[in-house]
Formats: sequence, C-alpha cells, structure tokens
Amino acid sequence: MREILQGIGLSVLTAALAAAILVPTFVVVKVLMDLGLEVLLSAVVAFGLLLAYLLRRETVGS
Amino acid sequence: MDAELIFVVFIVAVALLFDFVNGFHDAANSVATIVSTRVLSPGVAVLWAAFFNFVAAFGLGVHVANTIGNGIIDTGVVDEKLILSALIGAIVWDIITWRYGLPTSSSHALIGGLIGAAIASAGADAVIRSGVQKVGAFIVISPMIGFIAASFLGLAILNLYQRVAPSTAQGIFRRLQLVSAAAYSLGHGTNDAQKTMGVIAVLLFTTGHLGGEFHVPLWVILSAHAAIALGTVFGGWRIVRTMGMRITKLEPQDGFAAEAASAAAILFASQVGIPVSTTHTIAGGIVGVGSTKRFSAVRWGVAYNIVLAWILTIPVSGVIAWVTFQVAEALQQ
Repeated sequence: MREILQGIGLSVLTAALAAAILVPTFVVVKVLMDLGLEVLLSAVVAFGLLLAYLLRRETVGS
Repeated sequence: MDAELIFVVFIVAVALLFDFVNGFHDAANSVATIVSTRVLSPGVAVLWAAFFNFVAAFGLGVHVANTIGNGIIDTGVVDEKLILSALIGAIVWDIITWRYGLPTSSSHALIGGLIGAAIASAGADAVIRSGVQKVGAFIVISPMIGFIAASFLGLAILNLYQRVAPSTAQGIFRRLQLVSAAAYSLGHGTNDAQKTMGVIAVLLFTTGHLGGEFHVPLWVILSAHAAIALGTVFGGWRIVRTMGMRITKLEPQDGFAAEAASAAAILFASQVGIPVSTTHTIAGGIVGVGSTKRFSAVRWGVAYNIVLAWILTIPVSGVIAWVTFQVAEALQQ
C-alpha cells in the first residue's frame, strides 16, 4: 500500500514538475517570438549552445 | 464527372498518400522512445500513436494548414500540376530517407516541394519570402527548443529521483511515458496532418471547388488525420532504430523527458501556426536528455548525419519537384 501511494505521489509530483518547467519555458519562447523572429532565433541558439557547453563541462568523466 | 475534376480527385488522393507516407515515416518519432525503453511492444505502440494522431483532428485548430495553404507560395500560381509536382518531390525524398533510416522532416520535404514547383511554374517571385524565412528559422529553433526543454526536464527528474529506488522510478516512468507518447502523437497529428490539409485546401481553393474564401473543410481535416494515423499503424522500423537506439541509450525517464518537452514544443508551434518538424524536435529532445547524463553518451556522428539530411531536405525535394514540374509541362505540350 505504501509503495502504491509513493508511486502515485511521485507521478503527480513529476507531472507538476514537468508543467512547472515547460509552461514558463514556452511563455519565454512566446515573448521572444513577439519581439521578432531574429530575436527568438539568436536567443535560442545562444542559450542552447551555452547549455550544451555547460553540460559538456559538468558531465566530463561521469 | 469532367476530366479536370477527376485530376483534382487524383491529386487529393496523392496528397493523402503523402500523409500516409508521413505517418509511416514519422511513426518512429512517436513510438521510438516507448519501444526502445520496452514500455510497449512495437505493435501496441503504433496503435497507441495512431489513435492520438487521429484524435488530434478534434479541437486543435488549423493554423498550420492556413500557413501551408497561403503562407509559403503565392496562391495565384497554384494549379494541379504544381501541387502534384510538390507532392511527388516530398514523397520521393521521404522514401529515399526512409530507405536509409534517416529521420528527416516530411514537413520540410513538402515545403521544399512547394517551393521547387512554384519556382518552376512562375519563378522565384512566387515564393513568399517571409513565410519561408519563418519555416527556415524554425529548422534551427525547434530542435534547439526540444534540446533545451528536455535538458531542463531531464536534470530536474535526475534530482527529484536521486533517492528513489531505480525499480520504483522505472515503474513510474513506464506509466508516465504512455502519457508523454500520447501527447507527442497528438502534437504530431495536429502539426503534420495540417500540412496535407493545407495542400488539399489550396488546391481546392485555386481550382474553384472551395467557394470564395480560403478555409479547410471538415472532410479534409478528417481524411488527413485518418491517413496519417493509418500510415503510423504501418510505420517504418528503420527509423525507430536510429531514433530510439542509435543516437543515445534511453531509459524510461529519458523517454518521458524527451517526449514531454517535444510534445509541448510541437503543440505550441501548432497553436501559433508554424509548421515545425516533429522529427527535428524529438531528435533535439533525445540529444538533450542524453547530454544531461554524459555529453559523450550522445553519438555525435549519428547526430551529424541526421543534421546533414535535414539541411538537404528542402533543396533536394525542391529540385525533385522542379524536375517533375518540367517533365509534366513537356508532356502536356
């Protein structure tokens, strides 16, 4: 019983976490898009490359 | 029934065949992660994806169909020959890339076909530059957004489940992946089926079968979703292998993060009327979750081949459509 409740609790928490991450991400994308396609493109590419660099640095040797 | 109407019906059938090939080609994207993480068997997975492809026909709007219908090329130059050439360009490229197991975009193949056929018909001025620029920008933006959103979600999940037993976490994500795969298939159905709807609607509009105002009739919406869902049922397994196993090794939580992030990106694009590549978006998502574990876990050589095929999609399908149009012109004279 305890395991089932834990499973339900974690599933709900994960769904809430996904919403908490994805909704603000797409609100930012919409704001950038309203500012212009060039703004959105350059912001997304710059942030994506920065994130890739950080992930590469942080996961070396793991 | 006169000859012109028979030709229109024939082209509508070819457009639905393209939609079927699109489902067939892209089925892999919808089911690759749930199959590779063994959440569902391949047969059940494609039925699951096909069901949500079809359900997407109801209530998610036709913004992308409108963009394809009147935002890529000047509707004044559209005729049966142009649409047929565009569809042949897209179908031929889809079959070539399916043969080599490359997850390219059926959407971009169709857009490339439309551009190539329009240039053959009326020159470069027939192409609406702002529409093509938007599509071109999203070739980069959609996989990047998939990558960023999936990385964030992947990292958050890693942290949340640090102290949870791996067997418990696997059980939870196997169930959650059913939801994320359904959401992804919903996004795939709404964004991709709408491209065929746009092509059929512009054909009917320019041949005078749609009345005075451009719109997408209900029968076109339903038949496009049915065709993509059928294609998904008969989906291609070559691409499942590339997407689900060759880019990086996926665990159920990775599949969930990649699919949830990609589904959100595609549904967002559908609502703002941008025809994005569902293939590019999920590939970005898969690379994103792979990178959060270990950057070198991503097979960058495979990713490079995929990106190369993406770059070639619009030009090659455009050239095939251009050649097809010229051949059709020659045959007609």
